[in-house]
Amino acid sequence: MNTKNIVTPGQRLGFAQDYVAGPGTYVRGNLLYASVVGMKRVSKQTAEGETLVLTVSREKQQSAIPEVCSLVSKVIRITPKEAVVSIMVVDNSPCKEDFQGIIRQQDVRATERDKVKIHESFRPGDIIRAEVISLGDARSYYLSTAKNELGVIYAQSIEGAAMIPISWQEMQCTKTKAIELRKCAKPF
Amino acid sequence: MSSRLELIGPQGLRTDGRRFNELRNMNCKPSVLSQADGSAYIEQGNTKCLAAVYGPREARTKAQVLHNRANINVEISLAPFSMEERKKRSKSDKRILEIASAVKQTFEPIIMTELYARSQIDIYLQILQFDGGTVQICINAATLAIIDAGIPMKDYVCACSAGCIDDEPVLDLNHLEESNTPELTVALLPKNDKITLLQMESRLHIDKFQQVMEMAAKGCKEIHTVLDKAVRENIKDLLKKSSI
Amino acid sequence: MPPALISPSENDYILRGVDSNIRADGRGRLDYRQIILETGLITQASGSARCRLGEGTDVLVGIKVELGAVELDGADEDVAAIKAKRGRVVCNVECSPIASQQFAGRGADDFNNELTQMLDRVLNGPQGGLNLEKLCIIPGQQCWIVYIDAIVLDYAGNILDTIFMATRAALYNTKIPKTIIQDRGDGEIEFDISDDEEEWERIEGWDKVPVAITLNKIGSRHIVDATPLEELTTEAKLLVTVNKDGKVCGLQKSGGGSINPSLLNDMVQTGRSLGQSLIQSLDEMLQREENDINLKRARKERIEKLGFFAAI
Repeated sequence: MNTKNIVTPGQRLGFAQDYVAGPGTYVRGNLLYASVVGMKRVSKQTAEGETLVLTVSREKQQSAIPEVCSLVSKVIRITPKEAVVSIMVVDNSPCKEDFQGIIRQQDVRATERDKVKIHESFRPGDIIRAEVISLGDARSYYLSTAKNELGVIYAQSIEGAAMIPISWQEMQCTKTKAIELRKCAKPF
Repeated sequence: MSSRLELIGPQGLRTDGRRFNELRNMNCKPSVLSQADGSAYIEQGNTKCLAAVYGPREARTKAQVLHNRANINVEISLAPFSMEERKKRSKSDKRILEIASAVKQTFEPIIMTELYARSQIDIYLQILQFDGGTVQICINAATLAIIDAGIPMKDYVCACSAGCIDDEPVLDLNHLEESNTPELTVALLPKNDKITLLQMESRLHIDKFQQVMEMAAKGCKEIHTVLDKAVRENIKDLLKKSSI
Repeated sequence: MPPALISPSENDYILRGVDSNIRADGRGRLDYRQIILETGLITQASGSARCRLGEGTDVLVGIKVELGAVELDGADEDVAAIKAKRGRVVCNVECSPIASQQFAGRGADDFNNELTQMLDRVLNGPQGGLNLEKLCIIPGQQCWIVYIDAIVLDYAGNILDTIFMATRAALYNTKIPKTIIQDRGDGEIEFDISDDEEEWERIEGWDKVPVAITLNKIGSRHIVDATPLEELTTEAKLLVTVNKDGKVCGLQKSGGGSINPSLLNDMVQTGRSLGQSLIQSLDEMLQREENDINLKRARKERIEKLGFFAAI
């Protein structure tokens, strides 16, 4: 651990023309200053002539940010047209704070897309595996479960007991044996 | 200006044994509370203060939403046993509200509020023991807590008071001194000496002002070194813990 | 600020943990978190103490003893006769917004009031243990008023128990100056308050002040010293105040759920035995601190207080 890299707010970091000001820094005049306490980091140069990005942060690593890959999320609320979910885990690394995502009616399954009913696929509180298909609008990512291995992986019945999948679109309550409809994920 | 009380002893020492240009003993520690996003405890002599910062987070009421930057909310409470006489002060005590507003105005241009539009940052200050210099300790404690919360700010804000006893400028007044002499409180950004707060509530000769002002600015710089040291110690601890 | 929420899964997790006698932080059902107790932190007060539970709850109590007139109005003759011979204890509990966002603005007013009343009821009643008659200087005229102010500085559950522990320690720490009463004859009595800092008295009966044990009923079992999450899971709460003789000085049930009579009996018994051993360990802590200070004073060493947050 290099304590020399620790900087405090207001500390001068370098000239503004040498770096791009990343998070935790700001530019005043032609100088770059730190605005939070933390470790000073310079991005690795990837292309020739590219300006380096200087950031200050106290975390060892940045929080996971959704990109086009598979992830785990929880259903927050459903409407006839879409299910709103909060993204908790991206590619096996947990997010520091949850991101909002939307699964539209046409993205629930690959076949018979027009017959999909959201309330027969997801319920609030379900934990689902999904993948990002686009970065979506300003507020949420667009997600899809249109693959066999994607869909609900954990759900509770009305009774509050855990349910087990019995087919790709049905789950059974372990307590009352009642069957509820879900778009289940195929177990690995 | 001669005072009724002997504030300076024959050896040129003040009532608490300090020299003219000496700060009170100062202790501080960031990250002391479990619930707050950022917190700090600070004592300057016998004045002790706790600060907690929450946010940036969603504004609680619609009225508080500012569309281009974060709204800063400052609340100060005084412990009933903090003064010489027991006195229960309500949160709407005029004097306390004034100090809260001074703290808010000091931090508004320094915290990079434009990064967090439509959100709110709460700064709560609790004075546990009072012996002069309320404004300065509130500002110093808030600075530490904001840094601890990881809220971006342009620089530290350090505050210090200075006064004038028998034509001699003195630094960092305690309660006895501040009630008998003119007191000047200054808050500045230590890296570029810009003044963000200046308060003086009594008469002081204009010729003396310059000297007193310089004294206070010097005090702010000293306070900055203390705060900076505490912040660095704390982040070192934090990194050590997270690297295990 | 809306009250905190708990999800069914968390609820379930806590419930099962309590059932198998292991809680999220590794404690058993009837274990307290580590208690840090320190007295004499506030120099302006007549007595003060700070109590911290584990890494969370932190309460600071400051006591100021001031001269005041005996309060007589509004009471009938019999009550007035008793009141005339007594000093008073005034309690006030404040939850600082520093402790939790819940307490910001006017959010804590109701809660403050509830805690204040609870403390007041115990300390001003006959079960409070304090010898209020000793606080009277001239019957019917002058008495000492003991102002007890508690501030909740940090919140991680179980506030009430902590307030009682801190209050008890602060009462132990409180110094009342000695008074010399002179009878001038013809009914006129004068008194002097000693200026000598070494001449002081402790409030009589501080050791008989009870502590409070909050028992939280979770599922069919009960736990002590609940964390905020456990408090959310709690169905019913039972507050048992116990003094050092193991006598129950008060009971109060709160919360939405109900308690089975046999469980109730069980809970009171647990509260009683836990309370007694808690008082014992608190007294030991206070004694140890005092011995330490005396020893250092005898050796003319500097007495250093842990300070507010050095212990973390």
